[in-house]
Parts: sequence; C-alpha cells; structure tokens
Amino acid sequence: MGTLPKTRFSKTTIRSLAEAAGVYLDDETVDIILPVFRVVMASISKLDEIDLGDAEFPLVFLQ
Amino acid sequence: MRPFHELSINEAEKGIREGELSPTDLAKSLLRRIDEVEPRVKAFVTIDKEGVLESAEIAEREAKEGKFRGPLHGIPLGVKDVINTEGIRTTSGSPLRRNFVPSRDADAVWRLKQAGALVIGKTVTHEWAFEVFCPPTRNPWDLSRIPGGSSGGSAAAVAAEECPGAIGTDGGGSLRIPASLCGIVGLKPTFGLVSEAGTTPGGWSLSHMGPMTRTVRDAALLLNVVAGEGMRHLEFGSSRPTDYTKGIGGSIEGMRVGIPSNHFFEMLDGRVAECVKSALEFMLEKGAKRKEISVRHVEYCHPALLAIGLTEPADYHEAGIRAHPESYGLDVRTEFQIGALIPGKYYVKAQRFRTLFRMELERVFESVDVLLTPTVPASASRIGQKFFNFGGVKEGVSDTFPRYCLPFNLSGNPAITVPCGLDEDNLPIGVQIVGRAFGEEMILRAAQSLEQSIGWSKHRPPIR
Repeated sequence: MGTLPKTRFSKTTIRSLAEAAGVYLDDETVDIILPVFRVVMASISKLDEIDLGDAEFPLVFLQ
Repeated sequence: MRPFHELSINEAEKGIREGELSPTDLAKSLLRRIDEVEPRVKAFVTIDKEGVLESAEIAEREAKEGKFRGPLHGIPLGVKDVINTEGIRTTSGSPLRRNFVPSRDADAVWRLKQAGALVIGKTVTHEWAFEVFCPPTRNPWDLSRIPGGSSGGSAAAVAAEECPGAIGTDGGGSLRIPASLCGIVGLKPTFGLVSEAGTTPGGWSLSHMGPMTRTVRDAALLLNVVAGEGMRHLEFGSSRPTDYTKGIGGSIEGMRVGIPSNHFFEMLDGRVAECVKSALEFMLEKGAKRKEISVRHVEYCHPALLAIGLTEPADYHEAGIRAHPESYGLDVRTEFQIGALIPGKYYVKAQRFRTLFRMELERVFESVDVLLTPTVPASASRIGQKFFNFGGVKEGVSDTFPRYCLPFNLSGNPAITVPCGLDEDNLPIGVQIVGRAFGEEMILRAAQSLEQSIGWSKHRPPIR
C-alpha cells in the first residue's frame, strides 16, 4: 500500500472506512467527523514523507 | 506561624516527624482551605473528608508512638480521577464511570499509601484524560481562565493550596501543560519508571504518571515513592532505584544546556520567549554552558502523536461508544471515532518513527546534558477561547498547548516544568527541562537551581 491519495476525503470515504473497521456512524456523525478527519489525515499523512530506514517497531522503548 | 495549608510536602513531613505538626491539624487546615476556595476553583470531583480525617487520626497516633510508615507519613495528596483509589469512586471524567468505586488501588496510589500518604480527594480530569480544557475547573491565578489539562484539577488544587501535592498523568503534555498554566512544578518521568497499572488507559504507549507539586524538592520526594517496579516497568525498561532528592541543591556549573534552534521557539507568545531566555541567563550565571542544537525530525512528532494518540484510545472506547454514544462528550467522541478510521499503516509508521526520534535524542544528549524549552507557547487561555493567533497564524488551543511537550511522550524522555515568571496579565509561565532517559536526577537539579534563582516561592495565586 502506498501513500493515500491526496483527496479531500468525502462522506463516502468516511462511510467506507467505518464499514471496513466495523464502526457504525450515522449521517449526522459522518457530517461532524468529516472536516476533523480531513485535518487529522492531512497531518498524519506527513509520515509518508519521512525515510524511516531501518527503524524498528519499538518493542522495548528505553534501555 | 504560616497556616498549615501553605506548607510544602517537605515542610509538613519535617513538622510531623519532629512532632511539631499533627497530621490531623494538617488535614483539617487543608479541608478548611478547600471549603474556602473550592466553590470557585472546582478542582475536585470527590473530597474524602471523613476518610482523610480518619486516616490522619491513625497517622497521628502512630506518630506519637514513634511509628512512621514512610517519607509521606500523614501527608494528604490529591489523585487525578483516572487513577484508581480503593473505596473512592474514580469517574475518569465520564458519566459512564459516575458510580465506579475501585476495589483496589492503582500501583502508584498503593505506593503512596505505603509511604504514609493520605488521599484527600480525586481531582478533575478532562473526560477520559483527553483534551486541555478540563471543565469545570478554573485557574486559581484568574478564574476566567482554564487550568489546562487533562490533569487540570490536580494542578489547580495544588496551586490553590488545597493539597500540597498530587499525581497526574501525561500522554501528550497532560501533566506539564496544567502545571505550567497554574504555576506549579510538574514532572513527567521516563516512560515506564512509574507503573500505570490501575489507571484508565489514555494511550498505552504514550501515557506517563508523575508528581505535581509547588516545589521541585517535593516532586523529587513524590517520585522517590511512586517510582518502582510495575508490570509495564518490567516490560519496557530497567529501573534505576535512587534517591531523587540527592542531586537537589547541587551545582549546575558546567552543565551543558541545549537550546533547540528549531520548533521549540516557533509560534509563541513574546513574553514566554523572554521568560525562558531569562531562565537560561540564570543558569548561565551559575556556570551552565549554553549550546545551540537542532533537533531533527521533530516536525513529525505531531503527526506521529495523532496516529498513536487517537488510535489507542479508539480501541479502548470502541465498545463504550457503540453502546452509549450519548455518554461521551462530542469533542472526545469525535476524536475516538476518527481514531478507529486511521489506516493501520500510519500507526506502524508512527511507532517506527518513535525509534528514529529516540535515536535522534540520544544523539542530542551526547552533546548536551539537558534541553531547555518553553513548556507551552502561551499562558492560560480564557474559558471558551478556541484559538490563539501567533503573528497572524491562527491555531486551535488544543493544538497550541501540547506542541512543545508531546515530542517527549513519543521519546519517553523525562521532562519537568518549573515556573519561570509571570506575563503582563499576572499569569504563570513555565520552562521545560528535558533529560536523557532515566536522567531525572539531572533535570531535578537544574529545575531546583532555576527555582531558587527565580525566587518563585514568593509568588502565589491571588485567590484567597
């Protein structure tokens, strides 16, 4: 899976993601979530820019 | 003689140990203070008047017989309401837990009681320890301002002298932000140093528990007690049993103080920047060495914290939201629902990023002993205020306050906030000192030196 398409995300996206995650969202909730989700994903998708190299999943945080 | 409610933990403990202060008188003095200011500050969810008086009487009898349970014998403390207390309800700021009375103490509370501390009450948390506003608690320095959060009740109670210390939790600044806004000391220890067993999970891999006090020495005294073996401790790190008060009062001559040249001095209030610069000057006068340093990758910390900090609680709250959506506030419910929709690859990337960022901080701490930054970019916002404006750039209050704190939730490094001045509205400003993993002694020494130079003890909130 590569970078998520740089779309503005629609209500359909929210409903599809919710369906895949087994989360029920009514229409009103989808309306509330959509603008916040756009902001959150715009931030989180910046993680696609960084070269993580050999960085491992941190099973042990601090030695 | 000063009223007992004004005493620090260190002063009260000494008084009790030397027979000059009775635990009952101390508890009664604090309860009187609570009666006076609590209707305005609203820092507590539950005040255990009967429980604390009963425990204080036992502590008093024991003290008269020369029996002292430990270094906190007879000292009443506040406990954030996401931390379980046996026999005292623990609501997590949620109607869903309105009547939840734990049958056993969280590890940290158990440790505090073993050391002789008494629980005076449970302090307000923003719902599920999320967000920075923390209603209905008010900031004792200005009742029209927020205390910060999510450990806002603990910070306000300590600042208003309703208790000499408290414990809070910190998943993205939740302990340091309110400590800074309320003008007290807040210590987020190294990840895993304090067991979180028995605490309502905010984000399992981000949350830290730590002391909130009026002096640096008191923070060290509490850390001495709460630090220790726990399930997560064994899983994530190794202990360094120590006396954290040892380095306090020691010289900071030659201490290498790192000043980040990126991120930590961007988009902030001018008075905050001035105060932190003055704090640095005080340290340099005492022989510390200044070193400019760039912290690479820090711009990815906010995205990483969002990916982890929304996803982990989304899982914890999935069943609750499905069954009782109306029992969640709209702000936190929306965030948890979004957490459930974040693609898994970002959670993994964010966790891998933490490895990279931790390695970067290891590099940074090869050339410096501590980092000095503002704790938050601005002093306490007004209740109802949604945005800050930094040079024409509008930013949501919820995004502003955690900005300088959250990198160290990702890395797990210890960080302490200590008051360093007041702004033009007489609101406290905090400075953050960050150390290498398990470097609590070093940051406590630096913080106490600063506290002494600034003479913060002469400042008290105007509430009477």
